[in-house]
Amino acid sequence: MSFATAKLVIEASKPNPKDGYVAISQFLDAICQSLPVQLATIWRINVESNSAVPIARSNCIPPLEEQVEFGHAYEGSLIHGVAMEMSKTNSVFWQTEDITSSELFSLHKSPDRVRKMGLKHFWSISFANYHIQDTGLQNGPAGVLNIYTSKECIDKETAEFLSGRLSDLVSTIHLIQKDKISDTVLKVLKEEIGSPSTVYTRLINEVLVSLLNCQAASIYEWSSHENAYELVATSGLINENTSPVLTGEGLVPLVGELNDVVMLRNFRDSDELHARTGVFLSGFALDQTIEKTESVPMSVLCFPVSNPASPAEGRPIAIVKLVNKRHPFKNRSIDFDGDDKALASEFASVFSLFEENQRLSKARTTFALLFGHEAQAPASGIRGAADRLLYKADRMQLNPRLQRSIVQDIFDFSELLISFSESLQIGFANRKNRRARTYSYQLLNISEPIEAAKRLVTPICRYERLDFEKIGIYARLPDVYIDRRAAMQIFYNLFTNAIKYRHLSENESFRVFVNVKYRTAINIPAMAFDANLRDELATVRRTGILIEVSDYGIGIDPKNANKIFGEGYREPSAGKTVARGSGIGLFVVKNIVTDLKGAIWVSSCVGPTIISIFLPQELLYDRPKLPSHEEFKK
Amino acid sequence: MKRRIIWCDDDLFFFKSTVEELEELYDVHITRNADEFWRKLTSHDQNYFSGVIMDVILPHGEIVSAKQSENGERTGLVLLEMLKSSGSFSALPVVLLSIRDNHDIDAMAKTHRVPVFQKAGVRIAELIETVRKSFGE
Repeated sequence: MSFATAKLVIEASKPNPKDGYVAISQFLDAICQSLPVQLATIWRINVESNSAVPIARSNCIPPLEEQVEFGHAYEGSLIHGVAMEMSKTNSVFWQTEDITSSELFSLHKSPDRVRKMGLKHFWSISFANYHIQDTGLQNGPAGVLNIYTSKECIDKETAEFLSGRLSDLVSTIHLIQKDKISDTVLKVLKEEIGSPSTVYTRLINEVLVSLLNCQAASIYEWSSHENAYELVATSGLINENTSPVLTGEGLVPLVGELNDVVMLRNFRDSDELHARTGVFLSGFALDQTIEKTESVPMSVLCFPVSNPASPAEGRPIAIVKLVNKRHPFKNRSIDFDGDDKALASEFASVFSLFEENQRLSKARTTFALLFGHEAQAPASGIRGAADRLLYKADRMQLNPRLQRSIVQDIFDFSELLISFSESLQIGFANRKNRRARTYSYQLLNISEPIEAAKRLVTPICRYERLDFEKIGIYARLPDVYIDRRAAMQIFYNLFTNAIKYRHLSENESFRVFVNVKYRTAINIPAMAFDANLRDELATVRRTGILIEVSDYGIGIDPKNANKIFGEGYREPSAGKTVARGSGIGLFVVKNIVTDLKGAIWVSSCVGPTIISIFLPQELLYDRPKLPSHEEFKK
Repeated sequence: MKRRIIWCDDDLFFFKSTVEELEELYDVHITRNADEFWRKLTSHDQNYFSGVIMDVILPHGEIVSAKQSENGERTGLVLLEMLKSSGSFSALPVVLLSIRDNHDIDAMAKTHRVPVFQKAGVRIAELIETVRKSFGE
């Protein structure tokens, strides 16, 4: 058959990309009808999981005992060898008239079968998934079409034609799949708005299992209440009686930590996980939750659903876990590939909008409850004091001393209410347009806001029978350009934390020290400037002021030292000491310090707990050159 | 001699006017969490305290687990159940304080015939009157 006839047959087959893998098989059938094919296979290459999986095979199936494997490692295989050759010559094909005498034959996984079937003429033609290449998700070919023919019948033009057609087909299938995913997610969200549990279940069944072709799927959502990822829907777990809230080690918390996709050939293989992520988790930790699957659970694709408001920062709002990709024509599982990763990313983008809506709705309620109480407490104090004034007046029991004391209470509570409102304004203003732009920088000695904060907590200390003089300031304090109210808020929040989280049984040992090291070159943990950094030991050396606020309270779990500045974060053990807490105090402090181009970190977790604050040299009165207000704002 | 009452609340600073007013009538023993409360109560005989004033949202601890108390949200209710089911202290009168309306709290208070007050709404005269009636003078 001439090339022109072959082309006609292939064109006439018109595989419909909507049919997915069936269309690829139809395309291969058309090739087999038009060319003297002995054996032909279309392989999908997955560089990331180092695997090659056949997605279509010609009808000329060899005897069972000689059947080619249903997937193997990519590196060191014939497919890898020919892909390297193609890359060297910048070509879309590689061919040999006799595969058995080729140098690459040693890489063949079934050399006996080749000899038995008398396979000789071999063409390997690569194809691309344009979408994946464009997005940089996978370099090199998306796969190869390997054809053994009984005679020499393929030429360069035929190979390029087949490569182009197959690339078009694979790319179109991918785009249709992607569209189908977004459409179905949107359809489910539209139909089930307001009913999260049904939404999650439908997304698992109608999208993750059906369209991402896996045997099992689960969705985990971040719970700020538990400070952990919590299972919200699953196609089924093996250990169903447990209700997993994933706080510790495990794949789901790890993906949350990395904020990146993790794709594994064998989810129990700690070495594979280490090779891909640099993190070592024991097999036990990886086994924390196991989804029910038709075949033995093996391959896994676990991806984060990022917060749409700040995708690159912070913690993902949900984690989706897919287990065991279905083999297109065999009832067994295969590895997930670059296509799946791209499709998962499409799902995550659409789903994140829904998740964010749910999260905001929950956050609104929590915010109203938390801040309602936080604002209510001093307001109740004012009301209580006024009520006592009335109570005493009605009974003619008011004397000037008591009267003054009650009015002083009203004054103190009002100050706290104002301070709370300041805290909200500073910490929760629009992040992109934070208060930094409206800070009013003035030259003052840093002792001024520290003393002001101390005065504000004095009534609390007095009531709690704490010696507030034990909030000691030990240093020569420099003059700085700073917003007075913002600086006071920093120390007020640190002092109230020290009071709240002191050892209740050891009031006598209550101590807070403020130490200022002036104009020293300071080693600052790099993570204090960039929370996304993983290297805990990396430091940055800067010149400025180092303020250390230390106390001998209940301490901080070293594991959580970097989390305590997060919005709404509360130490899990804090509930034993103080039932209520908004978890915003240190978040507000961090926001202010960041606005001042400084850094804050925990330099000692216990005995004493030390919070270190670095303020840059630019804020110092006698700095070499004073930037203009406009420059500083930048 | 003044009667003794035990008050359990981790956040009494803003309630100091009421505490100070009660202190004129009673010897008020403040405790700040479930453990401290239970330890103090049970370290004396059943007649040592004349009554209990208790917030619902309280720090949990060893006596009441985080799970039982739903992370502190119902520690006071768990303590109330413990008190009422204990042989020695079941007759001790209790006044509950709560920061918000809650069907759960009302139902349990009704079961144990315990008065409940909203912290933000209670008047000093009203609370003192109830305490006097329940705990005696």
